[in-house]
Amino acid sequence: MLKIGRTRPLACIISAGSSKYGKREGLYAREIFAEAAYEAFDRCPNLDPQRDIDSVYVGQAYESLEHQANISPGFAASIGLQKKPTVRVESVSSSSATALRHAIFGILGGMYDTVLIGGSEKMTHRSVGEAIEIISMAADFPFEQWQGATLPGLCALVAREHMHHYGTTEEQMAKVAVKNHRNAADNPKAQFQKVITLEEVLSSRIVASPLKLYDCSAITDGASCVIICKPEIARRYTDNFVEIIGTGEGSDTEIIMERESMTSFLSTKRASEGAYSTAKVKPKDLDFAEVHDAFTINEIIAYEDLGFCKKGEGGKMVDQGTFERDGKLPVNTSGGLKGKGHPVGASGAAQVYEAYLQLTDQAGKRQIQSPQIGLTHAMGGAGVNVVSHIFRRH
Amino acid sequence: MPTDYIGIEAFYKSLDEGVLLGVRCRNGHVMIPTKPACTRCNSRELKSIKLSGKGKLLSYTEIFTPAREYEKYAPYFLGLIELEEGCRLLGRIIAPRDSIRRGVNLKVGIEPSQKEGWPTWPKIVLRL
Repeated sequence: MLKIGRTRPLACIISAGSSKYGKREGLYAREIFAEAAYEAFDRCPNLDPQRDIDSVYVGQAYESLEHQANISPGFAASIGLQKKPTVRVESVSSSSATALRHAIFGILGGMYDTVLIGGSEKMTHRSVGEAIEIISMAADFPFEQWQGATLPGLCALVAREHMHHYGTTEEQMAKVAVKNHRNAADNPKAQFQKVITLEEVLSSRIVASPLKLYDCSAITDGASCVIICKPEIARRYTDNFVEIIGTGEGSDTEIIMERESMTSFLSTKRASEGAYSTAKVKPKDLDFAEVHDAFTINEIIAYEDLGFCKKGEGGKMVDQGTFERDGKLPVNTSGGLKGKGHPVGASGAAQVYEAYLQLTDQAGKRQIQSPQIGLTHAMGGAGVNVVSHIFRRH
Repeated sequence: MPTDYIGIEAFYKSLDEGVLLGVRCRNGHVMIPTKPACTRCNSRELKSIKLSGKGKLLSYTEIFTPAREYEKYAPYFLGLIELEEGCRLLGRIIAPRDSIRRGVNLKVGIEPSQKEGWPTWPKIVLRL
């Protein structure tokens, strides 16, 4: 079969792992990280981590959570790689996606052959007030946090604008939550294992109007990782690998009041342009996508900004079931950040983990039929920085 | 640094004294002085101007789950207003619930801040 997209992959994913997501009582971020890494090691018996892995890139968002700076050496040491170069990459919710992008550069630059990229966040030991305060550090301090903005609050402002301009409804946002929880129920690693109803979402308590509890991702402990290598040596480790064919990154001013648009995240458009052009694919070539749904409105806007539908039609597409698992373009088969849980620094790697499982037919009950191309979309803050990757079945 | 640069500290100090400062770049873009270059055209030729503090409410949200600093106000309305001069500002809305709607005219005011510690910036409030 003729392959779609660029001929030579940028790098290949030879293995991946993920911890169970949820409340991981008594476990520290680096211990949860080890759970993810050991799954990746066990999945790839031909890999000798000490011999083969050249570097460890770690995504982790909030050092305040565990009162720990310089976290990456502890993460690397937890998986026996204390002698390897290691770095923490931070861009809040896109941290480990940014880590992947820069690890790809390390491989393309010829410095590394094989790199482990992962993310881990331990959050549930904090009170809700403390957690909201720490999470909201993703917002600008002088002009947002100091003036009472929270991260859900900023996305709520965007939601109301989208509702005003395009007629998007609270029901359509709620349907995104219902879809993602339904997918999560088929993901044994997900924080939430139960199907929820539209009524439950709509009657859940308000967090920041119009966003309700079920429109918002939860506070989660969890870790995910992938192991990538240069394309020429992938076969040395396994025949069941995934090709990374596109990468893109885009930013916008960090303060929402300065944005050109309140109904689009231009950072997503910029990142996806980079990903589509390096991959040489178009939105119509995609078989599935994992997109940033920390808040349900973000997923609807992502459909539009990633080119899955026209501007303003995201809500309508939800009504039509376009992004359901049996729809035209399944989105967030993992359950997304909504259903799977959102350990902030791990979420970018978690999306890649799902793409790896889908493209190697290892996604179990939620497996879609023989997908060839998938996209991931990770967003830091309320549209501040976005990283997107495109993957292909080998 | 631009010669006429107003930093974040100076912006808030002036606001504490009742004057809302903005900057106009050489290409006429008006912004709140959040950084030393125009966010639209990158111009570093910025002139400070006095803003009217009057604007229209663009978007708003009622926050029930605040950070600890704001727990004493919860639930409260947070609003994004577009000032007459074209730039936008975020603040807590103090107005009757039934008056809070898109397009309503609001004025920028302040609640004085703590005088000790960091930061000593006032809190921005939006009133009818």
